[in-house]
Amino acid sequence: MRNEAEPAEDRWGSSRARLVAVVIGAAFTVIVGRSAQVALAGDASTSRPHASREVARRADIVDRKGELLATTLPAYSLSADPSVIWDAGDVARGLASVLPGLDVRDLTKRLSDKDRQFVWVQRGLTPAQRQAVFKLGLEGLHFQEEQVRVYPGGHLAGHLLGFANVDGKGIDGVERVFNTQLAKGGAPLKLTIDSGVQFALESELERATEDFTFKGAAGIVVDASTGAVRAIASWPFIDPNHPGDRTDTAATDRATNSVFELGSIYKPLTVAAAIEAGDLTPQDTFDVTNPIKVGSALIHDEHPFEHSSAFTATDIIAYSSNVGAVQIGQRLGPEKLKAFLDSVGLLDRPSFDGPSSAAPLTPASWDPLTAATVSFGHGIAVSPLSFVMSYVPFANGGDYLQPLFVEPADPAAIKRRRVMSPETAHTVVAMMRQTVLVGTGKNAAAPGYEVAGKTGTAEKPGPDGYDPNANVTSFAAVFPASRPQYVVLVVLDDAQPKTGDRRTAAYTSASIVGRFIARAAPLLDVHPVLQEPVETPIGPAGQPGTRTASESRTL
Amino acid sequence: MKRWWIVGLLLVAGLAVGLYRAKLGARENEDRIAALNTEIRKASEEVSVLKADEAYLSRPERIGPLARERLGLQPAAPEQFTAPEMIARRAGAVPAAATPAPAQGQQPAQ
Repeated sequence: MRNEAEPAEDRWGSSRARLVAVVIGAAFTVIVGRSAQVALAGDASTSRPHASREVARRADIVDRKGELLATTLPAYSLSADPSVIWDAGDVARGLASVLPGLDVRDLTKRLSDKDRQFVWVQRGLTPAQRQAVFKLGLEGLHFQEEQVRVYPGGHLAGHLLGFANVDGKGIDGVERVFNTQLAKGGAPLKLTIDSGVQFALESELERATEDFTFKGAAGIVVDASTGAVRAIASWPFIDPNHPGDRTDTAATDRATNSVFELGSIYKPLTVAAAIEAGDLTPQDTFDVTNPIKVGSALIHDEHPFEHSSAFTATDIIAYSSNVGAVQIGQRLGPEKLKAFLDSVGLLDRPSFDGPSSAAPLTPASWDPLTAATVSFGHGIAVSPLSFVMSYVPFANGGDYLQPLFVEPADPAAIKRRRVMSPETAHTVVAMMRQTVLVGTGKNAAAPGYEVAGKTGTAEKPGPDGYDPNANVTSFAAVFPASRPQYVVLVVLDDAQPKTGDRRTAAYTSASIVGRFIARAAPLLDVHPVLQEPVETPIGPAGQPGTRTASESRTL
Repeated sequence: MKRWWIVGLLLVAGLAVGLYRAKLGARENEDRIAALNTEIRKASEEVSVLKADEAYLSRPERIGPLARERLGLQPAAPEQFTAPEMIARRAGAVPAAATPAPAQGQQPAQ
């Protein structure tokens, strides 16, 4: 029995051993195979979490000199889980102690809703505010890192910059127009604005509120050689850091999105059109003694003039004669006047790479009466930005340019359109210089900077016709007259003096422009022209300095 | 034959270990790169904050009054400008009538 059984045990024992070996071998193979797989390809089940794709940091905005105008900073959003908060009132009061803007009552109500697991408390917290909340040691609070748009200059160029919302999307101004470019991140967007000049312009507009009340104001400075806008402001100012605080009055960008009938600052354009068409010479004279009847309208001047029977175009501009401007307009004719205003961009919405600009309100038909009123700036309403560009040809020898808001100003890319000859431009600038020296623009004088310009006072149109008690006053300037480089325009909406009754442009806008140019010209690298005493030897040879004479020098 | 199998298995095991270590090293390097990138990002953010601080503190609205009140500075008036040649004349270094003699061989400008 035993001898028969032993071979059977051996047989089964050998089979078991093989089975165990196969199992162990298979297990080993699986382990090795899996190890190799994990080592080589990684383990999907235990792979580390990937950081979600980071949103590109929104690009900065800087001025032409690299001064920071808008940047993106890290910030934190604070949220809460009401389901784990024990005492909502205690948490709300604690948070309000370090975040003063919080409404304790509203927050307590929201944190008391135990059915909710997520409520926003406040977004855009600074690292210091986050630390302050941490120190409170309150339950159920969570922070989420995000980005916040900051405008270090406050209201400086606020309307131009616009603002981006909490999600980093441009909503207004440059932030909106260049949103795609800014959202990609990378190099800063460099504007043509000069922070120093912008500040000077805004300061002078603000300072004007000491002397006048006005509903709104706009100011623009343009480099006539390139069309680059060096400053653009709309009063009341807005602070892009707090776009929600804007009033309706402040929200409108009056420099680009409002249109005004600007009055007599059109007269130099009428004169230029007539000279360019060969219908006028500087020596031609006009009798402006009596009002002039055009159709059913009687057009007159505010005050009688000396030598009114022989007014030249220079006198018409310098003393702002409506009657004279109408006569020049009649010589020119409606079609040629319309064509000229069209050539300087006053009849269409401007098209350029920058903030949106309002379309002009132009006459439906160009009959003789319309042409007569347009010749002195009534019956046509344009944005200040459009208008200031119409003066650029005076300052650069006759080329119309589009406004430029982004550097670099590639000279090859600047589109120039010749709208008048250099001689015409020079002649009209010389006429406008007389406005400041002897005419209605004396208050715009800035010693040394040879301001040439034109005043404009236009009654505001209303539902019952023009309102004699409300006007738009403006002053458009070119400086320095002997070698024009810049064009400046200031417009005040319904300016009323705080004392006295002088509310025409001669006393309102002109004085603002004069003060601004005196202050900003050095920032714009415009050197003054002064009467320098120079020792001039006019005595016998070898005896210099016996007399002195004055000599005009460009410094 | 059996020996070759064992050698082969050891070789495969060695290669597997080598690959595993290489993989681990690469992962460690990735972690270091990620840490450095985080550090760079934090530093960039700090630079951004500092630049914003600088821009805020140096805005004309703040600097103007400080320059006036503490340093007595004012915007430059036109009469404060002069041309370089006028400085020499004012100092009396160059007589007003004096004109540089043309260099030898040159004609005076017409």
